[in-house]
Amino acid sequence: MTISNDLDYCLTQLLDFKPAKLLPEETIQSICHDLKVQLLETPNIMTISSPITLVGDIHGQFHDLLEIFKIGGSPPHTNYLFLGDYVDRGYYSIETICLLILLKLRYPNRIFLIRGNHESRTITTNYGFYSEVLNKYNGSSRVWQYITDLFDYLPLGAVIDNKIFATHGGLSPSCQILDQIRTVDRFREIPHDGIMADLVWSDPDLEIRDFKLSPRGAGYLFGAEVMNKFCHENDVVQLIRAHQLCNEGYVNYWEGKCLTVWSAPNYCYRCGNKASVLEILHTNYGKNSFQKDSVDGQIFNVFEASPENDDDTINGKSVNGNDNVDSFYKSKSVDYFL
Amino acid sequence: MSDLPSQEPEKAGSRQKSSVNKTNEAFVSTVRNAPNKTTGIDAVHINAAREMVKLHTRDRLPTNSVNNRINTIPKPLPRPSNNPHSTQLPQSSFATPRPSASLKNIKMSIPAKGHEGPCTNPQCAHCGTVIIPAPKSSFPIMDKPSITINDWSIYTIKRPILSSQELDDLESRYDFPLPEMIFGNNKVRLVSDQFGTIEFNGLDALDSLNKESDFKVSYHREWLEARKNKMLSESFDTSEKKSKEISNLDLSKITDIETIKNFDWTYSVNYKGSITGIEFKPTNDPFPIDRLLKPDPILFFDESVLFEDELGDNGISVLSTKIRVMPTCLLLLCRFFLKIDNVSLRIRDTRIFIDLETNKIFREYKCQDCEYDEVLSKINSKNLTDPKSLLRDSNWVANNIPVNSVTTETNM
Repeated sequence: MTISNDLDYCLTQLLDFKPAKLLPEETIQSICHDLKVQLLETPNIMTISSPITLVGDIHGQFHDLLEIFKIGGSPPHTNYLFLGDYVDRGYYSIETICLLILLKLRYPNRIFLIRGNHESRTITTNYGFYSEVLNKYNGSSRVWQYITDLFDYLPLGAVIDNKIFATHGGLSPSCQILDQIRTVDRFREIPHDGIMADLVWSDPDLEIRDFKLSPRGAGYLFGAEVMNKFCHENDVVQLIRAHQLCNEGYVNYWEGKCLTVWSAPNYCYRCGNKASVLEILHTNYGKNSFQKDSVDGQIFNVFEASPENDDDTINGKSVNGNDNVDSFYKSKSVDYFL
Repeated sequence: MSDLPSQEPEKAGSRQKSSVNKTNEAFVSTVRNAPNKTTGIDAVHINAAREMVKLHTRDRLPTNSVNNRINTIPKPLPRPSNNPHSTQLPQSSFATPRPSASLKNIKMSIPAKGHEGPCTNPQCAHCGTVIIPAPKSSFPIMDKPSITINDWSIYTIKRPILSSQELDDLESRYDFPLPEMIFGNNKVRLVSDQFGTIEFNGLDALDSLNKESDFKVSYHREWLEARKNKMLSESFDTSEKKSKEISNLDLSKITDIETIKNFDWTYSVNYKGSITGIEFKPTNDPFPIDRLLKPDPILFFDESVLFEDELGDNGISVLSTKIRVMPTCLLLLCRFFLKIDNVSLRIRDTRIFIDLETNKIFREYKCQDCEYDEVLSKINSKNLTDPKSLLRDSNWVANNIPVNSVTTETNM
């Protein structure tokens, strides 16, 4: 059997069965190893070209990921750039990340994955992925180990047609030019501090101009001036990022200069929000390409939760792998609480 | 601690005894009332015997089998036909273990008297409870169930998180960023024409925040140090004196980057409900837990989240409500739960109890705080593979961290 046949067989396990079949531990170890080898060669900021479809946070909502492929076209016929946060929160982090790993291995020039703040050991122990692995692999955490080790290899951003910068969170005060990101040693756990942290954690804020500190005591917000300066110095026109939940599935800041793409509909099976993927058809911009509500060649495909989620939503299987919390829509949840 | 028997294990025996007595009475009275045409086996005898067996076995059932319990209690309520606003709750044909006062003379209506729009939440044909979510609802669930019992109407509303338009409209009300999941339209509302209104909603709750929070995230110090070092290495005139000064200063003073306007980023609300028309005064009467330990049928049960925030991946802050309405009383719990990873855990519970027969209202407000490591060390001793999962369970946390303060108030 050739390698691509192996990968195709694994893909059928996830795509042709309902519920999707979990891959054995050894298989996951092997595909993680293969992808690490591939990613070693990948620079911190990938260079890719349009047309491409950008996908924001998925958070283990496997059914909605399949819905994205229905809406946006299935690989390899559509190119995809995923902006991170594949795991935690939803009930199918393992299926989600395995599918993405397999697709990346099968179609390395069609699928691109970057790192989000949840692609980290500490975060995944607190927000569900670790618990899900323990539950689904009989108390063994090996799969979590293999996959979080792989996370250290994921690149931090991408530049599309040399005009658009894409990353998970946003800009960093320690990074005026993209070359500063290119020189970071990224093969490590996401630190609390520095460029790597800021790229996956920071948020845009309409009310400010400069960088501001969050009152939490760590993390940044960035404003309009920062955004303009960054674009000017790096000769790009736009920042596309994910990271922040919004009811409509996308947010447009500063007349399209910065966009948020959110791809987890009905987040946590209870937020009732829409989701979107952003199709970039071309980047041939003229003078009036950037308008208040639209950018030439960019289309947000907005969608709602797949009906496949309904059972999970009703049964309230539990987010974060704990059966006692977050069961707000459980139909049989009548409970003599005190 | 969501279930009854685990609450008072020492009482389980006595309850069983008393239920046996009750059952005997019920059995006797049922037999006495049985029709007089006893040819062959009388169906009434059989049913009474079955009920008795059920009552004997009920307390032995595992604690999570609430549904069995519910199903055995009330007969289906007659669906309101001509006059939907005056259904009488029928008396059960068999006795329940230590039931509350007689179920007679309870005026109930589904939906509530003041319900607007169509009622999509009918009663269950088997147990008489209001069905939540509505049988025909689709996702996201947008529900508006209601019920009236005696003087009190209970409404709950569930909707998706606020849209960007709704958020824009709120901009002038708050001078801090709202929690990332803000269910601003969700509410639970208790209304009495005679007494007033008790409501819980997330937007009012956020008005009750302190000006700022004492907490910083766990790696705050590390973060601060990194920036101090950077500042020092970049600065040419770092005399010893200056570096000393710097080490005592706040981060915002040593970099040119300011903090956005300070606010309580943990969203620790001090919220006891939005009350109109009812005056609460402190009382020494105990909060009537005993009434709530009775397995009375639950006629209406709902829960919802008012807001939730992941604190930038540093934990969780969530405000949620739960309500259960029984024939003679109701309990509403509004819980604030905060977990800052590696820093702290906090619970702030507001409980409203209404005696639906006497209209006496109790309000209990309980605050709990504990350091994260202290709680985690308690769990680690138990050798669990995933100890942190317990810390995500607010019920577990509420039962395992110390209580700082409790106040009980009443309207009478």
